[in-house]
Amino acid sequence: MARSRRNVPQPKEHSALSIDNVSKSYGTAPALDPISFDINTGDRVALIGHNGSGKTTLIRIAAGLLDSSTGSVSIGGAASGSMSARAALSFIADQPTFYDDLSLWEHMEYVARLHGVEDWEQTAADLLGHLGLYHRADDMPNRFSRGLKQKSAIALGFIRPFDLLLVDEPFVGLDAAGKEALLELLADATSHGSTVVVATHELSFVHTVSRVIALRDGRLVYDGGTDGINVDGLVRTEDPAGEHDGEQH
Amino acid sequence: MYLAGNLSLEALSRRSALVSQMKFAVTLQDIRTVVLLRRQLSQEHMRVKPWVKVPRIFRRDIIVGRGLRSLMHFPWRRIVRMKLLTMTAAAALVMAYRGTSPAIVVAGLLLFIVGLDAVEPLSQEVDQPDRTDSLPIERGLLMTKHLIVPAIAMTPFLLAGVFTAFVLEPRTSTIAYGFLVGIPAVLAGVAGASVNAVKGAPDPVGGANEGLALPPEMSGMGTVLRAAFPPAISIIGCLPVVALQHSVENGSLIFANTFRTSLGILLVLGLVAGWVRQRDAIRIWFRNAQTTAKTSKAEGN
Repeated sequence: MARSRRNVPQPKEHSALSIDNVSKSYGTAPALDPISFDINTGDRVALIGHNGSGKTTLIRIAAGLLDSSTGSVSIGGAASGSMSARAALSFIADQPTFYDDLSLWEHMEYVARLHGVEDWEQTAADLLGHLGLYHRADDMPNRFSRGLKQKSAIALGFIRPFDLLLVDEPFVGLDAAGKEALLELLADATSHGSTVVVATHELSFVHTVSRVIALRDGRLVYDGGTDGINVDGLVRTEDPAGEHDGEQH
Repeated sequence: MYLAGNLSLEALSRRSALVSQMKFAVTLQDIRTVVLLRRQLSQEHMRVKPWVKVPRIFRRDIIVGRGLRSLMHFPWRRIVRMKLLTMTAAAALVMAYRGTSPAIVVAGLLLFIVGLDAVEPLSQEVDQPDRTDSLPIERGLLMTKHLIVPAIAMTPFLLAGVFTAFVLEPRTSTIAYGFLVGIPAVLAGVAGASVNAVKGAPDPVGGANEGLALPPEMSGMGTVLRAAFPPAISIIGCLPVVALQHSVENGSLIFANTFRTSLGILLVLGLVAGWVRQRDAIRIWFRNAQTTAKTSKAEGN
């Protein structure tokens, strides 16, 4: 007979991403006021805000690439920057960087195999084909144009397994086909149970998400659903009549 | 106009900007930036098509495979330069053997420059910290594994060096002693360059700017020491030739003395590899110890 689990402690459910009282200041200049929120597994979230609102700072802290001044970040219960957090998190930066000495195909192998993916070749070929990069696989991505670099970074972000995908301004520099391919990849990731957080101004993406988090001048000014919100107003520098100020989640 | 090489004004302006940046990098003793800017100025790009494809068996360990793939993209100019520098270093070591001991400084510095090219895969990891720090592998382990390929890659250059020594000292024993002296020397070149690359990696405890709070005299001395340390390792690697020269002069145990010195140097290089592996842990431990000491002092007051 199976043992009853009623009195046995259940494993704690961790949020895919937990931001707890995170703030950042550069010297005396504050970049991010203390912010807290949790993102559940499988959520599709847009992080929006005007230029300089703190989106990139927040997303880089969440990715473990920037130390916060206060607070902590955990990814699936693991501290941001730890090995298990790195294994669970895929981060696509707004200004992608590549090794000077490897071709795109060699980048794909390196990233995939370091994440334990040994049968990476077919996935890499499919990804590059989907993004229209297959014919450039043997070229050096460091010499690509802005758009092709962005597509290469997206391919590298998706070649490895992840539970949480953090993407910073992925649509900048992409052509229409690239945007469509990225939207399909993001939809595919969430359909497979991954959590996706995208910092963007791209309204076509914002309207597809279940939750919007808006920052203004380093403060969290909106956290909630997309129904009836004025996205355009939230990304402007001026206060949109204050109607969306304050957390709603 | 002739000296300007028929370049457009835009190209000349770009080159002069690069030269200015290079001058600034030199004042900061930032050797990696100087190397990168020099490559840009001389249009030295990596080959798109590799010399040969790295067979799957050599890519069983992906970090070693990545290093080999990097070497296969080296432009021919870089390979020729590395070979010429190694041969010149070998000639300097022969001079040291003939009695001009300070020539080991020249040999060490030349091998350090060769090492800077050889440790390219490691330098690439340091240059792209965002990418490296997103990989699910400890930075120390990643960087230590990146030492394997440059060490192996020095073999053809070592052979060229031994050949040069044999041409200058045409005796059978030159080959044996060439390897005995050459192996620690070329590995020390790689070790010095590796230390130079790794010290540019982000500080694991985020205290990279702490030195700025020091008085200028202390800060300046620290900068000079930090810049001089990597080439010094490469120069130390050339010491076995001095042991060889002294043993020959004194007629004492020539092979035994040279072998012992080479072994000692190899042990030092092992410590350098250990430092690369444990650098982050050492820094974290040191910073924690400092914090504990400060706290204890404050509580004592």
